[in-house]
Amino acid sequence: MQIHVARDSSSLGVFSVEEVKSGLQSGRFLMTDLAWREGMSTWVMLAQWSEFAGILPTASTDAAAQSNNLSTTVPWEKSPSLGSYFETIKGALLSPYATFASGAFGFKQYIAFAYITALLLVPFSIFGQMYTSDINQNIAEFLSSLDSVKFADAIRQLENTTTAPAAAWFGVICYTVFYPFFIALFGVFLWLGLKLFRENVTLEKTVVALMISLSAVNVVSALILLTAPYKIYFLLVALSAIPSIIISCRATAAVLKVSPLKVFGVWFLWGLVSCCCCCGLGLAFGVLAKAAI
Amino acid sequence: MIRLVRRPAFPGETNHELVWPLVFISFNIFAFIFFTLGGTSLGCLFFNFTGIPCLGCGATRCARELSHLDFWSAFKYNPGVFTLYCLGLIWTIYSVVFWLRRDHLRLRLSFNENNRSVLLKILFLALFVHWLWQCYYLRKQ
Repeated sequence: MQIHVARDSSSLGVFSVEEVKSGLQSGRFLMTDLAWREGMSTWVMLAQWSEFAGILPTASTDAAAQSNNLSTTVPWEKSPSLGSYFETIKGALLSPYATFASGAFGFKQYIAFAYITALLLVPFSIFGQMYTSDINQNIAEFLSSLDSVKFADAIRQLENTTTAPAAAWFGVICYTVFYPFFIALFGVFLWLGLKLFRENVTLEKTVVALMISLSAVNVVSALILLTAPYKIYFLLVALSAIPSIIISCRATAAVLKVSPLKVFGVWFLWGLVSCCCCCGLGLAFGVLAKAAI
Repeated sequence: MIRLVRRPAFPGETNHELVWPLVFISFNIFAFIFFTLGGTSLGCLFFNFTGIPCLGCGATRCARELSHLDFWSAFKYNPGVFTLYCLGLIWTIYSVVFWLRRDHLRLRLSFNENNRSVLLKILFLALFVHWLWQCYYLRKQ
């Protein structure tokens, strides 16, 4: 009968008795890992299973147990406050690996953290809505001035796409209210991608990592929303794109203890799948290049 | 073997019976109000310039048709999103039953390392079929 094994709120998978035995001997599994099989009412540590009683724990058991007992290094987890919020943001920007060396990274604990970010962004979003609500029309006019057949379809669509003001304001309110949950949704994409890269990270920790890294990027780049002229807006977005990606990937990777390149790889793959982000950025660069020429 | 099992949650396990129904319900409320208020999206730039649909093409139209309860049209615009929506609906219904029964055994997919590659192959095949359909349907719109 197959045995389900879990460690640190993360499932390690389903294994046969022989696989668990050899895993315990090789150090892949720890005696402190929790296990369950059909018929049991609860999860029990492998050390308490009669099948594995004779197997001696490896040296790595102690090391892993010790690593679980480390105290948190995240300012927000030490004492949640506005001061520790900005300290955490600063840590995510400047020294993510030291700041996120250890911590619980529980979703509930970081909901307030995400809401602080959402509330900080509100004035910028409102300003943005007031001065850039007809940005589609501006872009359409600009593209028309280029006299290129390539843009004909895009221009037609841009001219026909007029978001109702009520929907735009509703967007701001929804964005603020559901901010942590929107991030959670993106966290799911990242988590799925990391699973493809065979990284054993929990969904909860992935969502929290994204909450922290996107908060850092959003807080820093909020000023861009204050730029009403769309050309400056796109220029700033283009200029800040690469630093934002680096900051975000580094902070996410520091929390999850994975390679930042893997985090970037996951977003790149999703970008390829959806294409829209890459094309939007490409279009912005194209328009800017044309404008510069 | 890939199969469904009912097991207790281990300490610290993500509460999938709570998270996903909340995401599903929030998405529904948001989509309904957004479309009711006349919200639209720009459309896919990739499709506009290349004529080749990306995997997300038609997703907004799919969501809009879902908000109008026109399921067949929704499916035709984006079968992938429609399937995800159906899975979300099924999981939400299951979760409601789970909470009403105050059950402690949770439904989970059980598979080993070998099965994982089979599941991935199935996923990629499904995405490919989805994309072929998009190439056929969205290009004739």
